[in-house]
Amino acid sequence: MDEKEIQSFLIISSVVLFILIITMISLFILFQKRKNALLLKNEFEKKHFEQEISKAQIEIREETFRNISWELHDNIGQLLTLAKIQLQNNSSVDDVKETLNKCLKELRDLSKLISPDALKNMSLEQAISGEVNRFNRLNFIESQLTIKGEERKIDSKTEIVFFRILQEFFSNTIKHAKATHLSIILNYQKDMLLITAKDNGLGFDLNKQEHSGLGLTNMKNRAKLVNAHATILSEPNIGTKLTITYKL
Amino acid sequence: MGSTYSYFLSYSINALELIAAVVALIHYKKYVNSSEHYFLHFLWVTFFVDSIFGPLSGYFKLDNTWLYYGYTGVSFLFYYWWYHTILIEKFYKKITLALSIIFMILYGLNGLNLEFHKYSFVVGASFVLILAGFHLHQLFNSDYTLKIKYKLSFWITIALVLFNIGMIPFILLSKYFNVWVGNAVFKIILFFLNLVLYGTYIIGFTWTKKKYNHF
Repeated sequence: MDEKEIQSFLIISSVVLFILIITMISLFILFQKRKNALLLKNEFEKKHFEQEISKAQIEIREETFRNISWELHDNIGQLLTLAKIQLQNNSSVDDVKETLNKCLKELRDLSKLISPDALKNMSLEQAISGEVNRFNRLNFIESQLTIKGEERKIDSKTEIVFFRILQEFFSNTIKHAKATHLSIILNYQKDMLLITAKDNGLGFDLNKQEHSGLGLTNMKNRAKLVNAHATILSEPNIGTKLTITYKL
Repeated sequence: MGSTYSYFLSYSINALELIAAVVALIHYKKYVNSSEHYFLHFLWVTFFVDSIFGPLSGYFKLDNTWLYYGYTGVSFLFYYWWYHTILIEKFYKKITLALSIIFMILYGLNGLNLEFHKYSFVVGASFVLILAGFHLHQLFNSDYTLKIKYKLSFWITIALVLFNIGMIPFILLSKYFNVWVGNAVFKIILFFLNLVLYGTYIIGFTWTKKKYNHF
């Protein structure tokens, strides 16, 4: 091997080694940076998710307090007032007893419904069923829950989100829609859960901006949060329909 | 002594090829569902061409230039095909097809002149680098980045990048300095690059996990 060959060997090997090292370092730095950015993003998303879940839980609780307040005022309060009037009018003891019994039964039902343990361990179906029963009991709206397919357990955080979306829909139906009928269907398909809630109320024009107060965007965003998809269809004077699709 | 040394390095490269092929076979179950499973066949073909057919044709005093040139063409086309299957973006797929066609034309033209055979390798290797860049970009923008060490296509791509990025200047400079790369000292560089290539393959096959190799 002559001097020229040695020289060229040194040059070639140095260039090859230099390029290899530079490539390795660049790739390492690039991936490390990207990894850190992704980790940060994931952490942020996780935090955001937890915050949204807490927010939904707080809203559910607020709605429950509002419902208790209504129920105490409109149902139990009315029954007690009736009992008082019956006493003032010297009605028969049996009549007063019956009214008070009815009142106690309502009180017990309410107490059972709002005990923290019951609320905590409630499945989505039980929670919706509780709402439906309450609507029927208080004659707010004629409601009905139908379960199709074999019920499957879904994540409790996802259940909270779904329940909150439905609760918001029910609240809109009762407050604004002047509907007489509300039907909810939980359809468990092979790899999909399809939740449909439909009322026969006033409905609205989806293209008009004035309905932003109904929280429609909020419902859709919340569904997205748990990888579900919410669509709202409404036609004036026909009614509104909410559909949530969730891959099981 | 130079000749013994040169033989030793050649056999070491063959040994590396065999070890990589055996490791790939042992871990085959982990990547059987992905298109990477063709690499098992490819590694064995490489081993047979380089360690059995090559020396055999040498033994029978046959010209093995065409065997190696043929292998170079097939191996690059195999890499392009593999990238075509794993690249998701349509734009990348189109470029892969275009590069494959350009390579085939240049490969055919260079094949006419023995002097130009090396340029086919340089062109082929450059195209592999472009496609590897596309794949790394694809991985970069996916959640795989978090568990990249378990993704076999990442390791294969890294192996191809490091090998080819080293081979291109090696071939071009040796041509420029007009030195014979078969020389024992130059074979060290070749051995080193093969060590990087098969070493990275071996790491990839060993570390990869089944659930990260779906496509």
